[in-house]
Parts: sequence; structure tokens; C-alpha cells
Amino acid sequence: MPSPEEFSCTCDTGLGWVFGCSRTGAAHVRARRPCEDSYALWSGSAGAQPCIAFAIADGHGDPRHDQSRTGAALAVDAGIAELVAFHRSYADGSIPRQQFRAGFKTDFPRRATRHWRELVVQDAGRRALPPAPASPATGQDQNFTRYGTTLITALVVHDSILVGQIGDGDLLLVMPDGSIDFPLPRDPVLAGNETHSLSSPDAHLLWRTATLDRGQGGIILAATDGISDSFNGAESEEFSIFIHSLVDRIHTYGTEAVAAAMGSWLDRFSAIASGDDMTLVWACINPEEQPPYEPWPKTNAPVSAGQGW
Amino acid sequence: MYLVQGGIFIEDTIPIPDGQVARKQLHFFWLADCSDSMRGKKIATLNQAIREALPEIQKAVAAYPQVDIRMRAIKFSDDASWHVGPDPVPLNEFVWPELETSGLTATAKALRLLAGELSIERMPRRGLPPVCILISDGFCTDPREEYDAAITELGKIPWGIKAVRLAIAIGDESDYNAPELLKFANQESVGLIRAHSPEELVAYIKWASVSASVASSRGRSRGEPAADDISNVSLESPPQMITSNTDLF
Repeated sequence: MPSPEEFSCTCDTGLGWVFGCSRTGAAHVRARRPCEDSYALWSGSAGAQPCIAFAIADGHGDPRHDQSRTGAALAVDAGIAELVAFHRSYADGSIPRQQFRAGFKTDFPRRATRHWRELVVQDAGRRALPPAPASPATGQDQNFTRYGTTLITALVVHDSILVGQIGDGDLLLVMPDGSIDFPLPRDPVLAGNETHSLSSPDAHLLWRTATLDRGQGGIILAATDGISDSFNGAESEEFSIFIHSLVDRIHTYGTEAVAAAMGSWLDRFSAIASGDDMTLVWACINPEEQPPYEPWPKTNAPVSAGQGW
Repeated sequence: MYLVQGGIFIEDTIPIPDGQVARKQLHFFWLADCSDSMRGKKIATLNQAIREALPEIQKAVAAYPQVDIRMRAIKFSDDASWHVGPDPVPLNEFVWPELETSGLTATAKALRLLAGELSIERMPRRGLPPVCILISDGFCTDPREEYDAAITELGKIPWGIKAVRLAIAIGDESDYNAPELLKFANQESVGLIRAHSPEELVAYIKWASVSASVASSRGRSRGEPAADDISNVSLESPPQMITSNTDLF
């Protein structure tokens, strides 16, 4: 789990770069509570096919979810492990793209949820947490509830971007033309600070997933809800202004400089607005390149220098 | 420019990204009975108590600078209407106008007006649980079915369920309908708050408004509510009052 005091980045695989920053919320600092967010970044390759994977999680953080900080850390571990395993299982190139994408929608939520539950059971056993009684309503082991957390994941491969989310937080794609796309449908039934959770008995059914073309690339941002809450919600015009302005800073000053400044920005937003923990991961995705061995002429115009991310 | 780790040069003066930040909104509703039976000492005490409660709420929520309380008030007698509203007023600008008495007790109409404001469309998606405090000294004079329908509606809409709903009954227990008022309240540990004297009414209005505001500001659970949850926020029991028997309503 990265220290909340630092930012992390993962190397260029030809696909792009990914950066992350996590900060303890002002309300948590005042209450002497730790940051209950977590994130993880991964880049590498399988079968000579590069990929970038990242995950962010937001532990629920109240007495009923007293292990949620650990739950969030385990969630990003489980998410990355399953994204990489998913990529490996398809990396030999023999699987058609449609099947690859369909497999993500049908298999990944179940696999990530199961993996998280296995890690929770191991952690509870290793730390000898007293067994919690089953919930009278659901019959579920309430130790899962104690570790309750959200999870957002993304996998970038040569031609596709696969994203999944359970619970609140925001995942969005800023296209090269500046338009903002929220690829995952909103959850219409939840209001206030309520969120779906990996700890729900039917968690694997509560995931929202989407598959996108890598196409012309862009910037993917994943954020815990503390950030959009600071701008009156992800649907607000102010949040849109913030996103456009952030992308402009990345283009103007460079990703490393923005990464270095991000911690103090998040601290400021938390101090004067939501008070929540804040975690932001952003991935600058290069445009998809045409395969060099392509036997027919390219129809798309070549990407000019400086157009990439 | 200056040097940071890894040999990367970065600008030390990158302007913070644009976008107007906003605190989390907490919508607070007073529902005040101003029927004819509230005439005299009751309405005078209510007016005074709410005015005195305002600075105490402000003081209590100062520990939660991320919270932006917006207050409104519904008055009800023959009908229900806005005493302050419908636009919510920031707490530090909220002024309680003198409430006059007349007519009957249209509690159901007041609850309907409240339910309309608690709809998903009218509330901020990511706000804090609203606080709703109903103060009455009598029986609802709207048809009973209308009252029950209004309570059912509050129990169906997400913000009605999440709201901290408290009811304060004024006067002698034979004068008001305790089960009816209790249907509005959703804090099991609090129940119906009964103010027998002006002293108790002042104390309970302050306690209810401050406790509910702090509890909502603190929030409780981000995960899905447990099956036995009535509200998203839970309050402790109100303090026991020691009051003189000589100054009852």
C-alpha cells in the first residue's frame, strides 16, 4: 500500500503512464483517524503483450466497518491480481477481442470479489479476529462487513480499456478533444453517503463494467468520492471545470510536475470542502498504434509528434 | 523551477486546478405548529427557543467545517406553507420570523410539503442526512388517511428514510396524539420528546436541533445500511429534565 504522503507512478509500457496520489482527509486528521483509501498501480506484460492495471478503493470507515482500511488495501491487491491474471489468460492473442471483452464483463466481477473475500478470510485468521456472528438478515459472516470497501479497477491493453466499479467514486475518460466520458452507468438508487460494497452478500452482482476502445488514447481518471464531493458531485459543472483544468495542467506542466503538486491540492480540497480522504489515479494513455505488420494500407492519419499523452 | 527526486525538474508554482469547491450540504427543516391551540406561552416559547438554538447549532457544528447547513421552516395551521423558504438559507443568515397562531392543525399537509422537498430531484445527491424537527401540541386535523399516507411517503423516499426525524410534543399528554407524532420520529432511542413546560421546550428544542445536526454532520455508515436500520444516523437518548411543576403549559 503506497504511503499516503507520496505519489506513485508506473513506467511507460508503450501504452502510457499512470500516476496515483492518496491523502488523509482533513476530517480524519482532526479525528486522528488514518486514511482509509488505498490504491495500486501495475505495469508489465504477458506473452509480450503490455498492460497497465490500476485500482483504487475507499474503505467505509465507521464502527460497523472497523477493518475497512485493511479491506481497502486488500481490495486493490485483489483487483490488480485479477486484472493481471485476466490479461495473462488472454495474452496469447488467440482470443477474439469481443470474447476478451465479454469475458471481462462476465468473469471479472465474480473473480475479483471472490479473491477479496479469500484475502479477508486469510487476514482475519492471521490476525485472530474473533469470529463475528452471521447477520440475522443475510446469514453472511459479518467479518466481511467489518472490511467493507468500494473498488474501482481499470486495465489498459493494446486495443482496449476495461473498467469496473463497485460502490461510489468516479471513473472518467477525458478524450483528446477535451470531452469527458463517464463510461460506467450511475447508480440511481443510492443517495447521500450510502454506497454498494464488496462486503455485500451479492457483491458480484453490484459491479458496473464497461469496455472501451483505446483508440486515440486520452486520460483516464479514477477518484474516490471525496474529490467529486468537494465539487458538489461528479454531475456538477464545477467538477467538469476541475477535470478540464487538471488535464490542462498536465499538458502545460507535465505529468510529473502535476503528480508532485497533487498531494497539496488534495489536502486543500479536503480542508475547505468535503473533509474526506482523497485518492486520485490518472493514466495518460497513448493513442493506439497500428500493428507494423499490417498488410493493408493504413486508413487513419498518423499521429503527429506531441499528440500523444 | 527546482529539483526533486529522480532528477525531475518541476515547476514550483503550478496553479491549483479551477473549479469552485463546495462543502457538504445538510438540509435542516423545522415543522412548527402554529394552530390556535399554540397561542400564548407555547408559541412565545417556541419562537424564543428556536432563536436561541441557532447560535448553539452553529457553535456545535463548528467542529465540522466541511458541513454547510441550509435551513428552512414550514408552518402549519389550517394549511401548510413556508415560514422560511422554499429556498434554503445558510445557517449563519437564518433568521426566525415571529410565528403567529390561528386555525387548525394541518400536520399531514406539512409532511407532504416536506416530502416534496426531500425528493431525490430536490436534494443534493451527495448531501448529508437531512434533519427534520416537528413541533406540535395537538391532534392532526387532516383526515387520518392523509396523515398516514404522508408518513408512508416519507418512509419510501431515500432522503425521508435517511433523515434524522424528531418530534417534540408540547403540553399535557391528553392534548396531543402521541402515537401520531411518534410515527414521524425515526430515532428509536429518542422516541417522542415531551415538553411539559416552557423550560423543557427550550431545552428540548436546543438539544434536538444541536444533537441531530452534529449526528448528521458526523454521519455514520457509508456501506449499505444494516437490515434493522431505521435511519442512517442514530442519536443518544435526550437528557432527563428536572423541571418545576409550577410552570406547566
